[in-house]
Amino acid sequence: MTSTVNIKSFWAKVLAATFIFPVAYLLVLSLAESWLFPELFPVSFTAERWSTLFSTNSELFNSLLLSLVVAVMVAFISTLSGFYTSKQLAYHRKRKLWMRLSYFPFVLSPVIYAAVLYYYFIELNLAGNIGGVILGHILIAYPYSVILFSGFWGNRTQRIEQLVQTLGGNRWQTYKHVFLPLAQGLLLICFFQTFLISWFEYGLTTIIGVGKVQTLTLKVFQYINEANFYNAALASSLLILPPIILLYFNKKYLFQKRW
Amino acid sequence: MKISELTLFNNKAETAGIGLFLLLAVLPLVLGVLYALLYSLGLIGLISDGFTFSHWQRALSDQEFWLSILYTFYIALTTIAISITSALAASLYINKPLQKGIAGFSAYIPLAFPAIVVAFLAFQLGSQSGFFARLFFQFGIITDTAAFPEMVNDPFGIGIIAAHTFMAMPFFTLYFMSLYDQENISELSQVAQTLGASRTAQLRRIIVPIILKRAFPTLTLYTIFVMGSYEIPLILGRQTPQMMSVLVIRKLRRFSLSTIPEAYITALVFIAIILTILYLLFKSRTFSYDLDR
Amino acid sequence: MNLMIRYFFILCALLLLSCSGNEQQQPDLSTLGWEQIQHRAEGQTVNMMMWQGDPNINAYMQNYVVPKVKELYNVDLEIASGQGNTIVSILMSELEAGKEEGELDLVWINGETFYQLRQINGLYGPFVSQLPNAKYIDFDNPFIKYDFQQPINGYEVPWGNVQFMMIYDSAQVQNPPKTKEQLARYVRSHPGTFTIANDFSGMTFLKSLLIGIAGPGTLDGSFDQEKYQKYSTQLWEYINNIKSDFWKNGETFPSSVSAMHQLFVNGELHFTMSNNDAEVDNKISEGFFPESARAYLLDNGTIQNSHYLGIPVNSSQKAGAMVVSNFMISPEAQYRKARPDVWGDGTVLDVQKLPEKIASKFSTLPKESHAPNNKKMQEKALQELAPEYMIRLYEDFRTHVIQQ
Repeated sequence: MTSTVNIKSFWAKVLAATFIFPVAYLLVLSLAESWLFPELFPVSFTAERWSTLFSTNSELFNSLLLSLVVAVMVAFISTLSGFYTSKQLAYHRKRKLWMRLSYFPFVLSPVIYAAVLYYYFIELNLAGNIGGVILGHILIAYPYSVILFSGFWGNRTQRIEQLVQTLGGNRWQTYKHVFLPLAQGLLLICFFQTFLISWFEYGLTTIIGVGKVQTLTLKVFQYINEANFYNAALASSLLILPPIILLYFNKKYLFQKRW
Repeated sequence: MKISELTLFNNKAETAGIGLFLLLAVLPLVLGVLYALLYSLGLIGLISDGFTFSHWQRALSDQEFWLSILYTFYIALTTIAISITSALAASLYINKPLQKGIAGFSAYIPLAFPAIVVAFLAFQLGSQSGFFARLFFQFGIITDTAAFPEMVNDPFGIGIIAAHTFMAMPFFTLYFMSLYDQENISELSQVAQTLGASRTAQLRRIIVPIILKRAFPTLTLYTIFVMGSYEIPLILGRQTPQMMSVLVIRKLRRFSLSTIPEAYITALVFIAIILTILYLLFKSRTFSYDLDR
Repeated sequence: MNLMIRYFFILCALLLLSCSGNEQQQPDLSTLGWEQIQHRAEGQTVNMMMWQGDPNINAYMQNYVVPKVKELYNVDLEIASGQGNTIVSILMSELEAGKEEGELDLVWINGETFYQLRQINGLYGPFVSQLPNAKYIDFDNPFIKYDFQQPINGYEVPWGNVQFMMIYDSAQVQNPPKTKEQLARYVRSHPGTFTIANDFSGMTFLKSLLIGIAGPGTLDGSFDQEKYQKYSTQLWEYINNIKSDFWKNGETFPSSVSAMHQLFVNGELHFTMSNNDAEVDNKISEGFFPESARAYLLDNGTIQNSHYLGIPVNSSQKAGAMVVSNFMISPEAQYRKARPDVWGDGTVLDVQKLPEKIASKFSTLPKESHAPNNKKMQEKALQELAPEYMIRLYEDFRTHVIQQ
């Protein structure tokens, strides 16, 4: 019995190492002065890349801020509008149709979606600027938010709403005192999930943003392109650290059935 | 009485809500398909000469196009098969140690990785002068880089599949473990055990079927997600065959401007494939919305 | 249904709004004096799209040009990443949408991109003669005056001039192959150590081979389908014959020259290539290439060409773009760009036309030490072919080599 437990915990450790190793690898690479074949470890380290990140006018730091602004905007708008619309959709007699429709844009390849929509973004003066990129991200994040909240609205919430109205409460009060507190956990999950959808997005961003809206993912790609792997590792570290910190606080924010 | 008042009360809100939904989730797709269709028929575009089926004819007779579709399915299905198998093994065999401590935390880490970083990592680790090759070299297993097996930009898409598996496997593991709890599977298998079923029989007849049945919609949607992935095959794939999303963008951005309609045709075919899969999924009974779930 | 109709109208209104907006016409800049243009440029934000595949080039732009044009002319220069094909594709979509104020104001182009942009009337011009620094440009040099055999006609301003080089590691390779026969023999006896980047560098290499096969001068002039067919068939035959001994058995090719450099540095490849004759020196000095790396020329010669700056026809910041490009061809900016420790890009200026002080700076530039000297390079310099050859090579390399 103890030996099976040991074997099991051994495999669990192997799995854990597989998942943790990439984080360590990226951090080491971002700190390496040079790390060429066949060296197994870098010969010397440098903190210069990390320190220039916080110097004035660092391109990478600007991208970090830009990514943050875009992702927060996307998360905020998608979560609230998704919360609001999902209720209307859930109570509607065609709810089944609406719910099904909401899956299409969400699972469709973002880069292909962007390719066929690019023309309209140009027409609306939304190509190549941050507003367009935010809208582009919302086109994916909002349907997700609708799907996530669809389970929240049901007979229970309908009965509560009726009750509050019978007691003389108006719609705003219903939201403020009943629905928002009731959905608090879900709202937070949705916020972070839609944040990550935007934070991780590359293909659509490069097309709709015409390469001009340089979020962190675009920076990673640019560094890969110029074979500047140390900076690519640095930019990658910046991309994964916020979600890992988030994970430390609450695993639920990261693990949510997205599909 | 109450009910009708309620619907009346909701009317304006409903209009706004559903209107917003149509505007953000339905209209763009319709417009996008319309644009791609018109372009592919030569009705719009700077270089178009009017209505023609010739782009469709050329696109559909292009071997690369069909290869790309096959390759897309191959990558997605292989990834999903490997991920499901390994995730089932992990969630059933080592579920206990995976629920606590460092191991419990670590399974969530891949969820913090964007696709582009996973692709970058796979390249760094798996290329012929990458970390694994260095490991082999230092231990004297290989003496030069060419002896290390190709794992990125390789003919079988190993790098692409490995990168996707790195993201999918822990997600499925966590998902299966949560299903295991939700569906009271342990109680069911206990009942089976008292009725004399062996552990293997429990696994084969009860546990795995229940999990897979419940997870089917999610697994299908994840498959679609892999089919449409872009960064990973872009960085880890070959110039041919390419996954459909990569092919679309390449054809869109070629110096020879004549392939742009073909890019839109590839996009349309991809969208059609996705719509068909979703339609079939929605038709199957495993997928339903019950108001009181 | 009612809902749908209302919704449709909202959309139409939105579209109308976007079309009818900012219709303010830009004045005709060609009638303005330079001072007026400079005045207009003040406070403008110029969006430049360029290939960003080299850290040195990016650093030169980001750490020198961007702050300088801000300081001197109060122009904000923003740089986005994109190669020629992306630029053509973006401009084409914008023109299709009838967009009067495009997203790009300045683009780094040459050859086939210039050709395609001219085809779709995507470039603004002629504007080059209005730039005060254009008087220093060495327009007598055919390698600058013609871009892939096309007269530039004032639609793009020369920015740099370079020659293609093969690069090898002298610690590993004693006698680098200088003819295509030698190359075939080398590849056969050292499988897996040679490849061709599937980008402009690789295509330039192929073009040098094509010229070698056809013989000097045969392919000059406008595109000749028959000749191309004849000689390219031989080229593909040659490549396909030895391809199985290329890196990864010739089943795939590095997508960019930077990826190829990386493979070279890690020892997977014995050779890399560069469109820039000074690259070997600057990559050695920054410690990226080994000290033993050397650049060399093929016996049949290699392509020398220039790269240029163009202004999209629908740019809304043309004055700013002109001021920036004028700065980029200024003697100081050109000198800095030519320094091997900065970028090592050849100047397009005629040093003899320059004021003496700056001219002497050019003459004290360190000579290339790991590459053939200027005289040897000039002897082996091949003229670019018409742009259609490049476009066809891109296409046919894919269909005749990669997909075989």
